[in-house]
Amino acid sequence: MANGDKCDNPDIHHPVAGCSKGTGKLVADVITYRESTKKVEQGPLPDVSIKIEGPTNKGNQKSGSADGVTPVVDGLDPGNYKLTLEPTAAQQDAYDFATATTSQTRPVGKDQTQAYHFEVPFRWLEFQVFYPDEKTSATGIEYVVRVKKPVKDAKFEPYPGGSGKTTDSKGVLEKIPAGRYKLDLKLVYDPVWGDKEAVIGQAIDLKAGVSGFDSGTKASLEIYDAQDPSTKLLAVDATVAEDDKGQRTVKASWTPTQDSLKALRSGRVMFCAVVGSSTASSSSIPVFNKQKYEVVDETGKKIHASFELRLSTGVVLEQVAAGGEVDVKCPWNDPVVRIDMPGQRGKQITFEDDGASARSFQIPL
Amino acid sequence: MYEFEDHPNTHISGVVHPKLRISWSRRRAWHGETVSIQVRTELVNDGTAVKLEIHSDDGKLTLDTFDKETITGNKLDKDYKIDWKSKNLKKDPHTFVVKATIKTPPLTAQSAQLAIDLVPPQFSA
Repeated sequence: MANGDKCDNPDIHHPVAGCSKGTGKLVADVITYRESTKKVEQGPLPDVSIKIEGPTNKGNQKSGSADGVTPVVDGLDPGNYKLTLEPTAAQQDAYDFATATTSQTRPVGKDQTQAYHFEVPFRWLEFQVFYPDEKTSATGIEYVVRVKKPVKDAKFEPYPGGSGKTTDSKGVLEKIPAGRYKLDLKLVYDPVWGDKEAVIGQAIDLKAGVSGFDSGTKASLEIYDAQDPSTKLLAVDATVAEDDKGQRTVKASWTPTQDSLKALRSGRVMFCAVVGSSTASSSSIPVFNKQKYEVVDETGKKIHASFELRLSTGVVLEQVAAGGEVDVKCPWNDPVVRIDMPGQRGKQITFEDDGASARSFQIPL
Repeated sequence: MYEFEDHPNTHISGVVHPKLRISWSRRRAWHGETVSIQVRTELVNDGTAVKLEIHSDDGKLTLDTFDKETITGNKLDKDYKIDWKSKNLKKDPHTFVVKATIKTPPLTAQSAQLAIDLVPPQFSA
């Protein structure tokens, strides 16, 4: 200044400086840092409105857009000046003003510059996905970060910019709103059959857990020969749904038929749950074909009889046709190669089978 | 459940459980035939190396080893011709398994048995 006033170069780091006659000055800065850390990494918090109340009204200020420092306010009559941060809604969302000191009252003395220093932390979240050794990163998995804001009846909603694929390095979100956070990996997992065996003509449930995908997402439950996972036998359409406990699943009911399994060679099936680009394979279960056996006498009357079915793999199924009939579950692709009827020795027996002519035999004594 | 919930100002570490399965395309084969080795994985990245070892069911005899195979789209299908004339195996029927090993993530799996008839059957006239 031409009059030699030393206040023309105020420094926030050296706030006490000479001022013009009889008045003082003030200056404020607002910085931010990672909440719950040692404030090692600090930076300016720009554009925060600061209300100034005191003996002289020179209007309000804003923290500088580059360095977080306000312009120097001079020509202030000596006295206590109260500075209060007045953040916008967006700033309150991004920074934790609730835990910060947002109002300070300090004396501004004659020929002095008073400095006000505000520190407002910002919330953050880091995440990384590992394999069970908890050292090796699991990469390439689609994820979505969801937030539930601390308001009544709030639900988890996708956080803008909080989605992508996992990498070798940790994901970082900074200056995030208050609330609960969830890292949802977009995966389908733990596919299970509803029964320990599949029977032709009987419905069976298929179910898998789902995370990350929204309810209503299309899914597919693909059924394979357990010994040939390269050839799909059929697919059952399904949809991701949420149950009463908020657990998301994909499930469907499937009724195996002779026709749908004609390409099944091994006698066991497995299914692969597919949602988006995620897949998960179930364990395998055996497939059975239920066949009705009737034993009748020469007049056509059903008779009680015991018999044994010997299958191509050597399996023997002992059966009792109580009342002359019995349902037998035969393993898929394991045909009956021999029928023993120990109690019927010496009798003439006729066999009738689907698609085959009747055959008669004399059972030896 | 792959949903990890926490409050802000924390580091969330999620853990996933990859899987590995391996199977023969058949349960029984003749010497000289080609069968398929089918590897299926979950949560394993493309390009991951998988080592395949074919050995007798008792583990005493290793027939073949492949260590340059990789997973693509969480699967690997490899045709394999049973050609063990130089191995001087006994003429009895044998059962063999194939074992898959992945280093990262650390996974191993073994197939069910493949029964192989080393000598063609002889039928009476």
